[in-house]
Amino acid sequence: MKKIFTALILILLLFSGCDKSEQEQLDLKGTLKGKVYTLDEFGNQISDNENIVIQLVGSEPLISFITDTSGTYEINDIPSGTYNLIISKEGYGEYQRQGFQIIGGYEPLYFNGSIIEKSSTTIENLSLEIVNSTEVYLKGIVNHNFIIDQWIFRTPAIRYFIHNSNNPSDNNYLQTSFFSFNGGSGSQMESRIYIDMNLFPSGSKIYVIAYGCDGHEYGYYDILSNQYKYSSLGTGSNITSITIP
Amino acid sequence: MVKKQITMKTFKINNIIIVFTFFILLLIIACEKDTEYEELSGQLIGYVTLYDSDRTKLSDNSGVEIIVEGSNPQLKTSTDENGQFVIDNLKSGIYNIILNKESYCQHKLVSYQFVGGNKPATIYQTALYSQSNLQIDSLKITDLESKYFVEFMVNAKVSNQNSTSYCRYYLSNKPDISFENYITTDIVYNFSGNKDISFYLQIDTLKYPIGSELYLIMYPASEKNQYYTDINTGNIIYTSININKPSKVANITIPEVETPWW
Repeated sequence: MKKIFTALILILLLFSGCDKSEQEQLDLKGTLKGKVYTLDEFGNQISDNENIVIQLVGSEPLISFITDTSGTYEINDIPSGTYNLIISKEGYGEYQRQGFQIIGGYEPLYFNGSIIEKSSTTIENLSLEIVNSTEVYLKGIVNHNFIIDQWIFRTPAIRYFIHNSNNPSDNNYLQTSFFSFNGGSGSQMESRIYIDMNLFPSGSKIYVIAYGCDGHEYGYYDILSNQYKYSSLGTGSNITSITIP
Repeated sequence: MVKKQITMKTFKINNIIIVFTFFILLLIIACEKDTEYEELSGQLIGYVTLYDSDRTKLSDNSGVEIIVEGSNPQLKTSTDENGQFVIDNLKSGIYNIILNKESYCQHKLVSYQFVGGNKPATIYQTALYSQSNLQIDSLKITDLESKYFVEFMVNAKVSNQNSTSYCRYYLSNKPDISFENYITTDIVYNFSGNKDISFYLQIDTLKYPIGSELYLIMYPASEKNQYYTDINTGNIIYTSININKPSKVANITIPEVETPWW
């Protein structure tokens, strides 16, 4: 019996010893705080920042936060790690900060961000035309909700994506650019576009799709595809094609 | 009686064995938790863009060797055609990332902090330039004999000129001058397209006092801005120069000048 007792005491001592070393292990946690806000499709800041969802994808279980009208947030006890920070709201273009490294520590890490309403601008009858045998023009009818008068301050913008295969989109393209449109809703657009001759040599066929957008390059960098994702884009137009002269 | 004693003995032995195994099991269980808090590790994804010495983008970005200096065992990988490289199971820590390809100017990303975790971290687009094969045949420095300023004229004869239009010169007051060991540096443009480079050099007499010796060396450069900081010396190391093709070292004594009346 005595031996068993001594063994038990030894075990207890051992347990306490191990417990201590466990506490000594570095297990950093940190706080992320800041403010997120929303912009309407015209680029005006909205005072109501309710229901913006902030997620730290990569955390287990998933850490998320839903804002009140102020748009401020504070997330505590984030284990040190690398996350994809996602800011989203229904009807708004998503923002992502991919590969967001949070080391942790006593002072909070600040992150402020904004998201913009998806564009309601639509483009109908998109077509390409060759003028003066070398210049490529993008044409179509633009419908939008902007007010175009002599005090034009904000105008709709159009972003187009070019590919040599017949399914160009905002995720599948070789060249992209944008231009702003000053005409009223329902009017004809006509804009010269510059084709990268290294990507599309003469004689090759190009396919183009256009989307309404905010004109401020709202979006984020995607690590895996090494591409910038434009998040304010509205619904896409029809796809049109032409052979480069 | 004898039989009973034996069973008692075996019981005692069994008891000791049971306690002992329990002890060991508990030891294993209790201390296993300890190892659960191992260092965080994760994935690192980066992109390299290759440029020729003309500073034109290449379409094939493959074959750049990526070395993670500071990892043990040392992690290595190389880029694919899109310039993408992936390093798996990288432990959290601070590393130097070396980008290397034959006939390209080696570049280094110093003190890259990596946390690790479930999502990959990234290194944004890094450019790597083809080494210039410009040859600096001779380098001459002459005194312009200005009244109030220390002003020199530098003449360099170059050959084997491709489209590179840059050279980088370094100045020091020690003869063992190199791209790693210098006081001041700047880039020289050679847009004229002819085979000689000449430019004026105004010297700050606070850095190079009158009567001291000034040393000059020049390297062909593919680009003007890319550098890293050598954390041991604090020196800025410009990386898009061709370190294999330095000019000869030229030197001159800093002449005496009049203090201007203003």
